[in-house]
Amino acid sequence: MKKTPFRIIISIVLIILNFFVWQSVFDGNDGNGLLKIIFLDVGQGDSILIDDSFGNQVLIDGGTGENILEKLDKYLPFYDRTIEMVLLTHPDYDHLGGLLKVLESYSVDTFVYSGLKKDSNSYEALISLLDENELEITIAKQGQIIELGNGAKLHVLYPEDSLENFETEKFNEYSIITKLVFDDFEALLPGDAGFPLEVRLLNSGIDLSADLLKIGHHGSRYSTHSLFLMKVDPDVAVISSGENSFGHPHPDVLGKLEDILTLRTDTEGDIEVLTDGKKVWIGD
Amino acid sequence: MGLWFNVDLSWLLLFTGLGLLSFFIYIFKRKFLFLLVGVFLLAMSMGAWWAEVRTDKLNSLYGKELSKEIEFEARVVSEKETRAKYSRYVVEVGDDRVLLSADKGAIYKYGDVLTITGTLEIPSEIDDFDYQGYLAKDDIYYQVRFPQIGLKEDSPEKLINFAYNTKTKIRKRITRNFSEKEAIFLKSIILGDKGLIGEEFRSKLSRSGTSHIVAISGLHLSVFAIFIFGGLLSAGLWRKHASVVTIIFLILFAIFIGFKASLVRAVFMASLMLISLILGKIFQGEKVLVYAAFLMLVFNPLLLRYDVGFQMSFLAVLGIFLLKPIFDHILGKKLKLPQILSDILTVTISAQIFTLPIIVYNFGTFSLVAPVVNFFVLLILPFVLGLGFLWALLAAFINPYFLALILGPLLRGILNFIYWTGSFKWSAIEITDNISLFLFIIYYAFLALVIILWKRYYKKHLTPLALWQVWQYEKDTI
Repeated sequence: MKKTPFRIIISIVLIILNFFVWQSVFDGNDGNGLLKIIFLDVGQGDSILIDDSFGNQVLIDGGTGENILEKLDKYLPFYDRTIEMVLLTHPDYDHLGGLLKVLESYSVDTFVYSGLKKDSNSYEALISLLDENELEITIAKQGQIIELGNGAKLHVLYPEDSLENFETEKFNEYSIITKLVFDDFEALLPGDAGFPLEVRLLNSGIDLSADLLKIGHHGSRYSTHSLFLMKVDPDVAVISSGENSFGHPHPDVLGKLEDILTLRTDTEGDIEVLTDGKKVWIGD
Repeated sequence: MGLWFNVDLSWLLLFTGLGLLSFFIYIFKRKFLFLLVGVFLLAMSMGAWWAEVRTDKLNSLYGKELSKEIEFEARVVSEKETRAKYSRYVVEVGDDRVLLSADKGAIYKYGDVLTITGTLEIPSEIDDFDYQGYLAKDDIYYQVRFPQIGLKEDSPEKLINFAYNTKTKIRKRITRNFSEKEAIFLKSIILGDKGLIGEEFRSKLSRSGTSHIVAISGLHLSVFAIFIFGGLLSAGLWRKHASVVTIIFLILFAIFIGFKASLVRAVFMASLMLISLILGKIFQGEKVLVYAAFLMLVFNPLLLRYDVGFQMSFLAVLGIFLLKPIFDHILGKKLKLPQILSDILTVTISAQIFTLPIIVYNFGTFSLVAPVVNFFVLLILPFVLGLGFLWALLAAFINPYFLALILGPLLRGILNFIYWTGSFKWSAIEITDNISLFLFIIYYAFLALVIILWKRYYKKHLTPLALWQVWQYEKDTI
């Protein structure tokens, strides 16, 4: 008699566990070799999650941190508590804030940043977190290539040299710029780059062409120069912005993007881009 | 006199006089009613008098130096309590306790001596909430907000420091191994961290009637105690020895968690029960409960008035002792559920009925789904707690990843269930009007009547709280 309820309870527990295990299988971490890029709706800020479907993730920036953990929780299976690489394009709060939380709640193998120093509390917090955790720290510079499990590669296009001992107050113009390449598919991720950095890139002669462009600096009017846009010549543009007092995204920028499929996190929420290297699917 | 309770001295004297009078009548007439009234009135006036004296004694030091910036030394006597935008500590200056608000990042530990430069204030009233009284129950009569703080001396308290460091380690591991919501939930149920619980989760807990699970209390302690007690018994210890060792473990556990009021109460209760087991006396729950409450009120009479947790857990346990047998009788035969399941159901209903007025008065939310939700949550929570304690124990040394793989989904399951059941419009009724004292009295008088009538008819001995029945069972069989 005494054993019956115990057995029932164990069965219930097992059934529930079973449900969760299968749910995570259907969550899509299934090793199909597709590349998934998710522009997370983190309010006014940037956060881009790249997933290779083999359990490897690269997170570029983390927004201000209000909901980044919630977002990651949504897209990562519950048993995956490791983000293989975290990249900080530049140390402004709307990119850095969320990474503080990410570094506390996930195991991060490699942390990539430009080495630029900023006199702010959040930057101090970042440095002490980096000291505390045993992770590999890489200073980004041109020519570095980060390889994902399915053959996708993240190329560092800028800065040309380490910015470790460089001093500036214009952090946006020294953002790390990367290009994600997967077979025929290319995505350009220019952080908060404004006109000055765009001009530098144009002059450097680097191949900027891409199928997808993340619009620089949340669609600021001082970003996304027509010449730059012509050179990149994207089919899809993504604007990562939220409620703000700067007027992002600016109508001028939206005007320039009229002929390009433009997706906005502030109106559409998270934007999921899925590709096999040839074809591109947007949304679920 | 009269700073906190505003009791008029003449009323106090009148009550004392009347109490003594009916006591004397009892001596001559031997009518039980007079004894009851006499004890009641005397206890009431003695309690009020003691509350006043104790408050006056404690509240004497810094009175003159208010509203001026001063420098003073203080010893930290609480753990860091993290809030959304700041952190809180309780510090002791001589005999006085002061509530210290500091930056979120500030890290001090129990026993640290701080040099504080700031302005002492008397806690202000927040809307209609009696913040002064609320803090006074913890002997706090002053606060100092965001002063300059310097660390003068590291804590000499080795044991508490060890506990603190271990907990910090466990907390970090929890953050790293569970998703945000799960981590906050797990920290609250096994370490008693409540400050991190957000507005949304708080409301869902309250609407689904499960707020009690995130405060470390008897429920959590009983799981812990049963693990240890059961473990010791199966290891071949005698019952008496196992009881003693269990009490020691319970006290260590309270030190480890950091003397949260609800936990101290639960440890106290459990220890009394275990002691009665050692002494071989048949354990009568409601009596032990009354002794425990009496002793705690002697130490701190303000608990009765200002500590909602005290009121709630006292009434909940009393409700379980008094009403559960009735429900067992009514439902037990009809439902034909296994013993454990029907116990959970009757425990939940009894506790809810007894605490209903307090819940409505303090929180304005009355959960309609509580019995059903609690039935399922309490079914699985002991497993989760057991796994959680085991995980935390291991996490102090290694990273028990595989255990986290089981624990994570269980936590998520409970969370989803609480969010789901708390999200319906009809999950709870919000009551904004104040309920009158008259209704309070009517309500409890009615309950008392039901219980007395039932006892008359059935004259059964009341069975104790379901979770403690393990021990009762032990006793009966040996």
